[in-house]
Amino acid sequence: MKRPCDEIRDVLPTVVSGRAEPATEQAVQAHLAGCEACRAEAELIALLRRHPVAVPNGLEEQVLLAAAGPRQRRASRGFLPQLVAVAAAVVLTVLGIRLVRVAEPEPSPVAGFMDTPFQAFGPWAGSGAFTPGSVVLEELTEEQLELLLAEMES
Amino acid sequence: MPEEDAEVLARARAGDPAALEVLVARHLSDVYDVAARVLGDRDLARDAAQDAFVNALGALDRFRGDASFRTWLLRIAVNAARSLARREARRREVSLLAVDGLPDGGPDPAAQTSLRAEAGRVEAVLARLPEKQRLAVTLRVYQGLSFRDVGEAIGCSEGAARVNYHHGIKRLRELLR
Ligand SMILES: [Zn+2]
Repeated sequence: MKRPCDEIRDVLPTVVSGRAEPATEQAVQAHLAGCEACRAEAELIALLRRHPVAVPNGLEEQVLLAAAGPRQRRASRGFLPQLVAVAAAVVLTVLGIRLVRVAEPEPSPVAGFMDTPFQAFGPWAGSGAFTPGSVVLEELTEEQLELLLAEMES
Repeated sequence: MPEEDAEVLARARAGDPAALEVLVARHLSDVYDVAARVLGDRDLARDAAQDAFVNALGALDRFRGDASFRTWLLRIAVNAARSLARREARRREVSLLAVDGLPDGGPDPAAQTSLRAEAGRVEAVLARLPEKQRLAVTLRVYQGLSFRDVGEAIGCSEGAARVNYHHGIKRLRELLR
């Protein structure tokens, strides 16, 4: 069974942000009046909320541009993946970059792109050859290949 | 929480650019906040936010509506930030995130200075929490997610999300004492 303070603390963020139901808010305020520890926690939450991270200038435009890009290119699908795969293979061979699967991929609600995180290591990471267990280009999605190419260009 | 998302989502799926703008405008600050808290780096957080939207908008067809769109998007943001963190292989350390992102503190320079100092402290102590605690606190305190949705976003159970949140808050209280 939960102690009263636990129940209060569960809902403090909702109350501090002013989104709680009036009945909840009343009950919490009544508790805070007599409980110093919960009051301190409410003050901490208020302190945190005074300092959100501000979105930097220009990010919205940047995101919209990036988000619109793949959609506009969707019409030309079919040819692009092969082209990208060939280009990536060439670049990989030239640079001698190895792709190694990350041991435990994070669970993701998005199948595909997020399911196969990969890391690129430069020539300093070992021999330039593809190693057993390394990512085969055909297994990469179009997005991953594009990302890879974009990273190499930068 | 804007549940009119369903209608906007339908338009976005159909490729309506205005609907994309609505989704980005509505959710960017939450996505960026989560990315920044995971990464502790403004520039990386920009990239992660961009990745998150590109990934989410490219996968809209696979959004089934069993979570809220916002929770689903924030989970993608968490994953984008984590994957970027791995790629960069950087240590998450205290940076000056909150300091140059401060809202205008008003005309009083002294008040502004102390507000900046406070922002720096908040950021510094948050950065010292283990990632799951930091995310649980961020998603609960700044984004107002339920424990169930916090768990959904960071990939753990509702109970574990609650525990991570309370441990995080307890630690913050100790650090700020
Ligand atoms: Zn109490």
